[in-house]
Amino acid sequence: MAYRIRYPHIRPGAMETGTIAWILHRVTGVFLTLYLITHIIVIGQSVRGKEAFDAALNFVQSPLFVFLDAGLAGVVAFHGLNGLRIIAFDMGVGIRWQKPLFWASLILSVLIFVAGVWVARNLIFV
Amino acid sequence: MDVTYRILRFNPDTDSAPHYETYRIEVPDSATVLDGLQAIKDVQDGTLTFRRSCRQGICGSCAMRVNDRERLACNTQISHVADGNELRVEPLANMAVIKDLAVDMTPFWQKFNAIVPYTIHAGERPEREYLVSNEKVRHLQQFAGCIQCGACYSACPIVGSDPEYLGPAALAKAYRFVGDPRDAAKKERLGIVGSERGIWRCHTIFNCTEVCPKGVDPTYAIELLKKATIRRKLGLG
Repeated sequence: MAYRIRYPHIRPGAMETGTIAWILHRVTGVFLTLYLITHIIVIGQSVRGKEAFDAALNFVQSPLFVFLDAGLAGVVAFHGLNGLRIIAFDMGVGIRWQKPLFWASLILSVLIFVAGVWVARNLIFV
Repeated sequence: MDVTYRILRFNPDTDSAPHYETYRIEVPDSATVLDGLQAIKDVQDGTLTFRRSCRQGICGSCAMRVNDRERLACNTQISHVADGNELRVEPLANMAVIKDLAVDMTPFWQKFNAIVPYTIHAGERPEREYLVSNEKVRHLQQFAGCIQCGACYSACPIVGSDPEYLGPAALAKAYRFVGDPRDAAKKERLGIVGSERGIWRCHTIFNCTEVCPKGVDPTYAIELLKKATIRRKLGLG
């Protein structure tokens, strides 16, 4: 039986910058979808009455969820910035700077995440 | 120089799965990966199968994966890529392996043919040559420089996930004609590449550009095709 090698470049150590950007874009996209579902479930508690909604809001005000909110800010930032990077390439702009643009997107996103943690530090480290 | 080759071998008649075989050889310091493979075949194991022809980086026969990256075996010096005097040699990815390092490139050629890889003329033929500006030639030269070795096709994860995707080589060649002022089939060609199995399937990963041994930038070609398609849809030309 014939075989073929698939995805040889998705191995740690064999990944190029563009592959890292591609995978991170997909992973952050999945995170955003999961967040949206969680968000709808939490907000959706309002139709079950005041008590249920208050309980849900109390639950997501725990330090863990506030920390995850900071993470969400970083995930949104990366997905958005890298999305703009790719749209720019599609428009014929900036393709020569694809690597620095990716690292800039990533560093900026991490900084936004860290800033989020800093801003909410009194709610996270209680 | 003492080199250890670890070669991913597969014989469809006797093997159910590929396996690595190790060969140790002595080669000159300037030897290429292909020189080493040929030495192994000549002296140690005549059953080793690989494609090669010109030995000077123009025929595109000897593309293979050397230490995790697609390269032409003939213009890759062992000393440049060996990892502690060790080379891991594998066949190209995304194509069925016929034997050892030789892959079945039929889908690659079918996709190449699908984009109509030749100039289509329209109207009166001029008495003298067709004039193309120096600027145009400089712009198109890299895309015309493709030697169809299949390195980009192997490096593209999207080809791996969608076997129907036209792939970087065919799309770069399509741009070579779309951008050619002598070609009269720009609209038809943009129609062929403008499907979800064409330029819009590209995820702009740049692996094709990273591995091309001839300096072709297929990602750039695909982006130029996207731009041309968008402009056409918007009625801007």
